[in-house]
Amino acid sequence: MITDSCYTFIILSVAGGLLTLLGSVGTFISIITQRRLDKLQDILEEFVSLSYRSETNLTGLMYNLIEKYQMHYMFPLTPRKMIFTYIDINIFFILVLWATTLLMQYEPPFSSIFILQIAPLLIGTIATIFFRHLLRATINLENPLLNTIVPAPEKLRNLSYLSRFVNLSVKSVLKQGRPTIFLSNFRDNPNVNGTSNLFKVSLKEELSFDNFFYYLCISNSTNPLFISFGDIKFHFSPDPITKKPVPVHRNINVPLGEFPYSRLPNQLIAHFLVFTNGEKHPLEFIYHLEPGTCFFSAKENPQVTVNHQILYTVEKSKLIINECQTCPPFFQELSHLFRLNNNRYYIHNPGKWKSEENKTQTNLLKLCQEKVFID
Amino acid sequence: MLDKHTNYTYDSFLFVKKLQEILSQPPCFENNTSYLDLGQVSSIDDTKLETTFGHIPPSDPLTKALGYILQSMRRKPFTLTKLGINELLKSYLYHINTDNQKVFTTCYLGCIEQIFLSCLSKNYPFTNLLWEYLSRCFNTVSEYLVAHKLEQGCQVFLDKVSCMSKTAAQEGLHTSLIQYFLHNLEIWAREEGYIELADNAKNYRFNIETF
Repeated sequence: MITDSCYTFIILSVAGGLLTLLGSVGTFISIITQRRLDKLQDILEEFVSLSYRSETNLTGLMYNLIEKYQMHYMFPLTPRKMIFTYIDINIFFILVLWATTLLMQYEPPFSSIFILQIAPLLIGTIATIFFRHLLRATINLENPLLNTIVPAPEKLRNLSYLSRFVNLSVKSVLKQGRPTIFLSNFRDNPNVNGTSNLFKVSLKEELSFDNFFYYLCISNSTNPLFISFGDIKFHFSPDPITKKPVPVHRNINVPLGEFPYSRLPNQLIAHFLVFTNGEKHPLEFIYHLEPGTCFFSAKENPQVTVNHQILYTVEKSKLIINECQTCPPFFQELSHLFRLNNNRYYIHNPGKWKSEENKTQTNLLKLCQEKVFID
Repeated sequence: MLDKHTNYTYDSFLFVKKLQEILSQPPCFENNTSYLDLGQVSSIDDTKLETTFGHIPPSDPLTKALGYILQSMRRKPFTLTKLGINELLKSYLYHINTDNQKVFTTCYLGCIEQIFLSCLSKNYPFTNLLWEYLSRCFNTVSEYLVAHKLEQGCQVFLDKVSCMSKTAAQEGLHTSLIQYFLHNLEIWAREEGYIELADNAKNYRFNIETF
């Protein structure tokens, strides 16, 4: 039998002990998080500094680094659940003990002073629950505080995000992704215009870098044949079978539209401009597409340059062209339509564009709704 | 003697002429001869050893040609090596037919592989140039093989090339031209109806840079 007055102190000291344990769990979690942050930042730094070695083939290395980053980013599920359960039970007991001591000392009748008396307990409860939130967020890494230090793995394929780093060359990063323009032919596929041949244009990327605005113009020796522009963003859901997250994909194909042709051209030239959030001059890829049996593909590596003739800014998900001295055909005429809204538009008969009135011009602009696929 | 030697080594005309002379002889491969190769047979007995003991393998023009090309890679202009590879591949395409496609591809690509491996050595300055040239040649050769319906040969060719590309990727050499080549080969093979070849090409394309 323990005396009543003494029992209160015992209960309070147990509650104090539990609080200490909770605090040490917090320390434990912060140590683990710190180690993970170190590791993640090292990988991030390695990834960023890779861009200086553009003369070697780093595609495989970049892919591996992103996968490695993803691995360290995830915290194993079982220990996480255990820690969360421990924290929850601990907090629950602390609250119960506090409430018990209070009830033991309570003497009716109920008065307004009582509310004032339980105010510290309420503040304590709120503080503990907030502490719980903080611990959970720290262990998950997905919170606004830590996101700035260690971005989510998907951000490593995000060109607009990467372009914000001062010491990173977007050009060499995207070069390692090896974007290339590919035209596949669809024979015997009569469309409305009566022409039976269609070229399907797609952008192939060996590493799926995304979140950039592009402008593509394919022309033969004299005229532009196809124009496409839009915003490219990917969303990869975790693998349905292995349940592993997919931060980056290989060999991705982005359909950009299609255009009819009547006579097979000998050679096509594709100008591909890439605009990212953190830059002011676009990257320009020039491909010389040569005919295969029923397709057009680049046989040579593209010329990649930073186009200093064009100056742009991004304002409220709109791309504003500030300066444009020499630029690909139709670029200036279409620039008022450039929006970052994750849509890809194309014009398959740019020759008509100039002759049409403003009202009917928009009819020529088509939205490419085909989904991104892996091939 | 020394003068004559130097003249010969830097003259592309003489170099190609010599190579063409060597490669115009019909290539002969070890498995056609009675020469006993311990690496090829799984078991031998005394009588077999006795009967084949004195045999000498016939002189192989390929080995000779390979020797010349490898020699050209030592402190000599890259043009000579390029011409050598070109002659070797042309002779391959000239000699290959439906009956010998597998053996010929294995032997010729074996030579190309040796050239490739020796270009990876640290002292060789033109590694990038040579690999780029090889990548271009592979594209053309495979197109020829598919167009001439040499499916099995093309399969061996694909295996060997992918093996080299994997090594190249690990060494940090650019494989974008190889990716184009594999993609083109996939389309050509599919058009000709060689589904298995096309699938293999696709599989290799996905795996070249997976270490």
